[in-house]
Amino acid sequence: MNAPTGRLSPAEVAPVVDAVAEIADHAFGLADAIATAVAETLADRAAPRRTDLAAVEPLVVPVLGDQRQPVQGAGFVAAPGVLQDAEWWLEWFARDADGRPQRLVTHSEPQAIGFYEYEHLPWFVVPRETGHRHVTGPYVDYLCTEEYTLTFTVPVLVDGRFCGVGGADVAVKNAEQALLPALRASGQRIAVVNSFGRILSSNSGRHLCGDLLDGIAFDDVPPDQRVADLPLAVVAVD
Amino acid sequence: MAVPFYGRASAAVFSPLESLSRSELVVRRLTDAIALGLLPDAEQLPGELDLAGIFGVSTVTVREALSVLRSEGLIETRRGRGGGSFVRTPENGISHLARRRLDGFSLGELRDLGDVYAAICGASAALAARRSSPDDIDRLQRVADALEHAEKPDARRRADAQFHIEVAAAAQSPRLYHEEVGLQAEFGTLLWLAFGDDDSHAQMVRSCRAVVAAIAARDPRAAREAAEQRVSDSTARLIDYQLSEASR
Repeated sequence: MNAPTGRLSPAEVAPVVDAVAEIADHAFGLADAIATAVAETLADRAAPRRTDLAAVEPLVVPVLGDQRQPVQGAGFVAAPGVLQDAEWWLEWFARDADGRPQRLVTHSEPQAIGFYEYEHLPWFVVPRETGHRHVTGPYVDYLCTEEYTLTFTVPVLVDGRFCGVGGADVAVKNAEQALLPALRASGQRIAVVNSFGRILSSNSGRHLCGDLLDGIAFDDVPPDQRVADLPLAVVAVD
Repeated sequence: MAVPFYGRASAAVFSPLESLSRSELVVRRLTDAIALGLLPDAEQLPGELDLAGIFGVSTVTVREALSVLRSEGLIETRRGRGGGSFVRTPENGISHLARRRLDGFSLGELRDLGDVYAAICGASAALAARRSSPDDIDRLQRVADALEHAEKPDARRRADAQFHIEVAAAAQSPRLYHEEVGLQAEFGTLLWLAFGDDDSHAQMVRSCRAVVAAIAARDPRAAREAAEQRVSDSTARLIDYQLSEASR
């Protein structure tokens, strides 16, 4: 799989970039609302506990309940040590197999085989290190949805201190559904890739979701092919 | 540094069942989970209604299964506030459970399971070599380090399970990930009977490093070969173990 060479015309690119931006705006809208609510709560309390995160559920549940929108899981993930009664905590809600919002069952004991080192995962690490929002994926989300997923996260900061991330998951199949009309309308072979060159979706059977497009120099992709400040771009494929 | 979670490595435990004699299947699933350490000692099981929903069976079936587990001493049920069913790891350790299950397999059946597991692990590793991004490779290295530094058999088992899961995730395939988790519950439990001592551990670490090196080199053929070799070595070790146990 070789890198694209030719520059794409803005008319080809813009509808696809817009479709990606629309998904991102929707997911970040929810992640931002969660982060704001949690930051307000944490700022008010000297020793916050899990029960202080009650503002998250009413923000998330109505969104998950709406089957027409693509977010299928969302919530707040605490930085270790922020909560008094749980070293590690995900205040997270996801759609179950029947499409109903359910609380994610997690454990605060770092013992069992099903443990999870989220402190090293990009959706947690990047907002912590950069202070900026981030899109992780596509990747196999074995923590929550067990599906091929995009995760949109924003840092939760209280007086400049990193306290965790607000986030929202979009299944790759939902993203694809939203992107395909624009991709199919294009007269050129194009793909939406992340900064590693991993394909989210394309209009070519030879460049499949999950494959890496070799030789992508993400920083050199022209600005009109990039999706805002996000690690996503539209590129040509051969 | 971690949070246990029902949706992940333990997914095989709480995913819907598909065939006959449902209460027996529930018993086996939960027994395997306890044997694999997915459900640690003193862990509270979900309530009967939740279990029925999770497994897709009736509460009567769940009650039957829990009663069998109780009579085998694998769970303890407390009544009243704060009550429920709690896991009790047998005093003679979880390997006792796996050994009992191993007795039900012929050598040919073990070889067959090993073949399927090698196919899944080999395919995962080959795809991971094509599709891993630098952060996937970092994660694989980190799990390989964790495996190398793990000292107790339980920690070694966890790190090994985590390694297989990371490879399947790096393959970018939810289906391979699900197959991996299912086979870990079915076969991984048994493999660990023959592993955990320092000699076998050194072998596990070496083979794990070989898989990571091939993935990092983006060499699908070498990755497939290393992963298949890793499983077939483990299967051979398990069969030797079974032979030596049978002769006692």
